[in-house]
Amino acid sequence: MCGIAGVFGFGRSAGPDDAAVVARLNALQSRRGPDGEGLWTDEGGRVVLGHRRLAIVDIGAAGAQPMADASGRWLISFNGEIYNYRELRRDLEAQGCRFLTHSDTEVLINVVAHWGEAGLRRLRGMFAFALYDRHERELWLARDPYGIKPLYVASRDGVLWFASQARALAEAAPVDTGRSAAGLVGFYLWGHVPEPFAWWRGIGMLPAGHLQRIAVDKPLPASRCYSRVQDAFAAAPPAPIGSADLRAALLDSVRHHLMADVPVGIFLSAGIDSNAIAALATLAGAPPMSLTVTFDDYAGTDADEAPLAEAAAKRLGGPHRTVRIGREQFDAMRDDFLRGMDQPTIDGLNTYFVSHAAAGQGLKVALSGLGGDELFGGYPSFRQIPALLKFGRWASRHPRWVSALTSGLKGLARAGGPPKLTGLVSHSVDPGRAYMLRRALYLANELDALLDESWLRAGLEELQSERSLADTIAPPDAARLSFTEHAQIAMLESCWYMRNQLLRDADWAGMAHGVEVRLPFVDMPLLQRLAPAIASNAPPSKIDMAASVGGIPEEVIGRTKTGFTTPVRQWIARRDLHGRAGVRRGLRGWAAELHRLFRRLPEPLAGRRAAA
Amino acid sequence: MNDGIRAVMLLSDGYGGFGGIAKFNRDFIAALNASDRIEHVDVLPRAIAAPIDEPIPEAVVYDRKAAAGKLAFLRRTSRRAVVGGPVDWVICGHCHLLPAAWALARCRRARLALIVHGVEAWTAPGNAIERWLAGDIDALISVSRLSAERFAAWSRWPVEKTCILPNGVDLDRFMPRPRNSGLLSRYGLTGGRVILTVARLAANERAKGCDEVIALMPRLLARYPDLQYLIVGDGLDRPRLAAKAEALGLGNAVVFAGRVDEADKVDTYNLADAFVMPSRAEGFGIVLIEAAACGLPVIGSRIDGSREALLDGELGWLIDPGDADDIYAAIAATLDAGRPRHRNAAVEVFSDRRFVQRVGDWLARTATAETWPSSGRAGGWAL
Repeated sequence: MCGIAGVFGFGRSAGPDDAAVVARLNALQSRRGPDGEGLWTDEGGRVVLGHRRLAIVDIGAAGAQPMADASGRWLISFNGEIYNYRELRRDLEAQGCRFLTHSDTEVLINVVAHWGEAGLRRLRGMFAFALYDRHERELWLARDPYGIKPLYVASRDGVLWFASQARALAEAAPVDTGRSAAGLVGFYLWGHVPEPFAWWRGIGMLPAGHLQRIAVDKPLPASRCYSRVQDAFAAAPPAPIGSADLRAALLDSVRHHLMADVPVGIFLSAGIDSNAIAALATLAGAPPMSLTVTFDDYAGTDADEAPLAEAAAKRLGGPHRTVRIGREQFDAMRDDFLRGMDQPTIDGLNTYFVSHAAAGQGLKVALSGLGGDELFGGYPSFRQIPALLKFGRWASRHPRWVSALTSGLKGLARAGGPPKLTGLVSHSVDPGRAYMLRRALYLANELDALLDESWLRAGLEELQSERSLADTIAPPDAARLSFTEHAQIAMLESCWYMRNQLLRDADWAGMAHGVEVRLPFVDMPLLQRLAPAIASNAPPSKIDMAASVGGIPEEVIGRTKTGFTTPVRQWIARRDLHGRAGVRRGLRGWAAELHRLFRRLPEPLAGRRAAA
Repeated sequence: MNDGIRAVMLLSDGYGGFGGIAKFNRDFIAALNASDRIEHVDVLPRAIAAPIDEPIPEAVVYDRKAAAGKLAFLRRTSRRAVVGGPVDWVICGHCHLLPAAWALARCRRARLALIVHGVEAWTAPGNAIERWLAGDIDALISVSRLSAERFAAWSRWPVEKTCILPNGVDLDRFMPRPRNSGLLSRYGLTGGRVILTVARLAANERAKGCDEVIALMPRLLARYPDLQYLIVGDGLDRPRLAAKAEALGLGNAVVFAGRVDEADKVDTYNLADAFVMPSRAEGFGIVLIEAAACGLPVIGSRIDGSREALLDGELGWLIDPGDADDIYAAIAATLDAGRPRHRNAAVEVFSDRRFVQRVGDWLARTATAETWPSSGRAGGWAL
């Protein structure tokens, strides 16, 4: 839930406009939290916390934020959910903690107050928060290990600004809004802006699983990692998981993700993941209301998910709604879609439409099957990357063939074949680069036609993509043998595509309609239970998962995966000045279009010069 | 929302270049980048004189390889005719590049815009093909009405369809300031009154009018003994001008500062009490509005584009460069007035913000104008 914002003048006294800027950040993030607004000021304005509320747990006035604990020492602005807050509260009460509300927010404060940094690892959920300690005059900023919830920061001249949306910071805070070379090049490489970078030079993302503690009158410290997704894979020796254990672990996660004081719906497709969650949610309580988005262009084809999803919903017995999107709806909502988009990203349309439909049904919370592909090897990358690496090993044994092959592939790409063919040989050498070949929108060597060499050089230098990819899958201690290829791909998909693309899009596109998207497959305790199995020689597959959950229709299990598709590629097909349609199609054309639209953001504001 | 425009620009120089045309081109590129109609701009510069120290706008690829020589320029232009995605506009920054720009535009079935600055466009080229090509453009951008009229007089271009895009000046940078004494001594100025000309001293650009001012210096010194004439700019004509000053016995009353770093430009204008350029062939004369922005009294020519830069006299004194008495009278009048310098608010029409706005307006007009083929041709050359 919610949008957070704030300012902390850790190195200087309060500025006259600081509180006004936080109020403006609140206003810009109002779509994230339509149910309420809060602003709290301390130290004569040196610290200001802002909050926009989407009320889901303890929805009365008691749950409003920014919130203080019973002692008055701590004050928090928090975005997210702590799914195990009831267990944590019991533990804390047993140790003498007092609570004023029934919210997870107050539990979060006490977890930190009581257990300190170590308490962060006890939290089950998605979160980004700013917590101010009035005794120590210290601000804590933190994000959950998967990075489900965003937290953007910008500091300048002894002042730190933060917000849930980078675009809000760019528009309201007096920060450097020049283009970030890493953000620009990263966007063309991946189709999104990868953390810790942002589209604007003066803004950065607090990395997932990181904590930053900033104290008054001390230099700004770097953030520290307190928990990494990858570490779950090394925490226990590889071991397969039995069907019953798998089911129990999944049910446990779904049960926790249903925690709410408002109804929880589900985004239901024709895929195994969302059907599994729907089946487990029905088991854990009552069948949730389900929503399916499909596109007019797909009516009557295999790509139309509606018939299967409708049949599945009927079987479970809950209310169901199918939303059909046509070209007209897309055109009508395109401007709003782009207004809601936080930073340029080539995806997010599906979540945007289904969240719109959910909001129309009065839902504030919906479960999604996002993350199932990462846990259960659902992406084609789990087959393609091993094949690429096999090819790479062959190529390294046959160097004489390689140069001929390289030029042949270049010719093929030039003749209209897939442009990424040119990188086939150079990228098949290690899992990181193979992953890049698989996921990249453009390869670095293609970008000189799109970006000036000055931008390209600076951006690639800042990004250090190859090194970061290699770090993601590096074993935690050198003595240990490396992970299986399957486990490495699971880590790469979780820490790159899912974190930077899927989770960011789920966040802004859901929040654009005041809908909180909850992700039972993106859950640290579940990962800790499954990681040894994923790292084993018998990693659980989608079929294994479906079998363990039970109750999933055969047609869903047998359906060939179409992946996430929308006809947007056709809808956004470029019509050039001369009315010739479809000169450039697809995601690359969409990326260029987004760059154009985001180039001029933030819009010049009347008050901007004054604030700067 | 319309789809974005992809443009290719062919330039004589721009980033890493000196002079008014390079400056205009940089401003034009920045203005394209500032427009949300523009998706991407490929720029093929014919030359890059100095290392590029300014950031290239993010929607722009500045093809440094094209500047390696004439062949390299043609090679890169031909390459762009074949690869690199669709092109909506080819914008030709100089008449001399028109054949290459025309070929590129027709190959890519793009529209062709020509930018004209000054003398290079005033008279018909000797080559019949170039003359014909000049009538086969889809848009004309001119820094002044004068240049547009002179161009239209020999080409088949309908002058009323021209986009007049005068140079812009950064009014937040070019502004009145106190004299920089360090700069004063560096140039060898004695602290008395100073009249200033900023001009390239190319052998073929005698038309800037330095000769006329040097010739007037003995008369002026008789009335203003502390007066110095500061000439900023360099080129092959400098030794001749220096010799002329020497021959007149002017000694240090005429000071050649050479080419001035961009960083010192504003302070250099601010050393002077008046700016004078009795030119005969300026397309516009960006130095006139830079001087006016710094609050200098400006004396410029009534017979070339200077007249438009000086807003028909609203922004400065218009003189006839052939009439020494006229020039003398104007200089004497400004020096006698001796009032504290202040910027004439009328210079605001040449602000860089207005420049960006004018480019945006042009893009908007052309986007809604008739689509291809725009001038009655049967069609382009498909590849």
